[in-house]
Amino acid sequence: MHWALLIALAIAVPSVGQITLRIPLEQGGQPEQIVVATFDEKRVSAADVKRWMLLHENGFYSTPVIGFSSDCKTSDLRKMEDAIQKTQQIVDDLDSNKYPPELSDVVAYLKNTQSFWLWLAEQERAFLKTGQPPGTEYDGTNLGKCETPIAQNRSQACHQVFLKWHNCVLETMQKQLGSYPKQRWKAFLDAYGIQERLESTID
Amino acid sequence: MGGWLSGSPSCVSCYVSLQNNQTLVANVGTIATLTWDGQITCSIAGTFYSSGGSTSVASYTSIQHNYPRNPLPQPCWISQFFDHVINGSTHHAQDVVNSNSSSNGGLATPYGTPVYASEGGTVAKEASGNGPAAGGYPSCVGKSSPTNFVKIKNPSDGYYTVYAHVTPTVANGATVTAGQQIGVTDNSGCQSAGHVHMARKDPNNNPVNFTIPCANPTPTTKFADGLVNDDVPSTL
Repeated sequence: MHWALLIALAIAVPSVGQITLRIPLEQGGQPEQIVVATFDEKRVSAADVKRWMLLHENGFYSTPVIGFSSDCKTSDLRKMEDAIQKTQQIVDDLDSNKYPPELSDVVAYLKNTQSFWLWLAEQERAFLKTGQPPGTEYDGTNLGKCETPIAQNRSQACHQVFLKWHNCVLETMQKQLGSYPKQRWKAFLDAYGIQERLESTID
Repeated sequence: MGGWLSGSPSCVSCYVSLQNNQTLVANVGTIATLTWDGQITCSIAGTFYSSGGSTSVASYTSIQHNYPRNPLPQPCWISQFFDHVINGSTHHAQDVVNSNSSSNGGLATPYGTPVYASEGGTVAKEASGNGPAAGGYPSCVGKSSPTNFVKIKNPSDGYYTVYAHVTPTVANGATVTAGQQIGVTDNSGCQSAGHVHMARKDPNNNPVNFTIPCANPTPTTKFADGLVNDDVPSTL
């Protein structure tokens, strides 16, 4: 009984050097989610923990920058270019050499997902710019079933590409890409002694 | 309560009028916040009391957007408005429940009710896997329990719409059209009864005020019926 109590206290009381950070999972004013991370700053730095949390399942790197062209206006090209540039930057940032080896699967998953979103946006940009039909293969996956039929007019073609083709390709590739490697993330946190708790700002 | 704004960044006029027996009892006419950030936000310090006497709002933020569609499959009712102060915390969202036409009030939305996009866009974020808050309501109040949600970005204006206490049926990056189902209501997070917590964010993720075509689209003397009171203090 006595020993059981001591063990319980050792677990419950944070050791000296442990700090807790509240890290928003989104950039900008008021995020929906915040990670409360507790860790030993002698083992890992606050700067690293903040950077690693960008790889969280609901973090910055899990978020698409891309968006469809609602009105199919060529004036939307600038926005698309901007989204493509930002996504390219994210893909470049997701370099496994910049992270601990325990995160390699997580980084690979996010890089693959963002790379796919980048390709998707590039296909849509090409369509908006020149009317070129989107591709029927990505990274060895045949996307022929998503191919758009010949449209009667531009409005119909836009609907087919930005809605039907987009969602069909997304659904197909999601099966290929799989889901976020939650167990790997958890194992990484355990290996570095980081405890995380998710908070919501939604009332 | 109503109001209007005019002017330019250097010279802005802001008027708020009261209706339905509402009385502004503190800091009458004081402009607490008047900012120019691409849009004008008008806030009046003070407390508005309805004729029922039980409801207060700390400020009235001008409407930035009017959604053309209700997110629920039946007529809706706003149970908690934007700007509504709950236990000292300002609600920066609209809580949407089913409308009860016989009582001219609201009814809890059953869990599992389909939720539809009030406008189209791209799914910018979704969260799932969260259950009811530990301890249940009201002991979860103030504990920032995680909730499920879908967040959709309108590509035209860059604004986001967040539908919370909702299990997503759409994936990150998916294109959704107005009226398309995006999820179902659930019991995730801290809530006293089923509802959709609907928020609108500007491109920098700051909340803005808006209307939904419910039976009570803007605050009236019955704007707080006490039906849904998820009193989680919020930074929103």
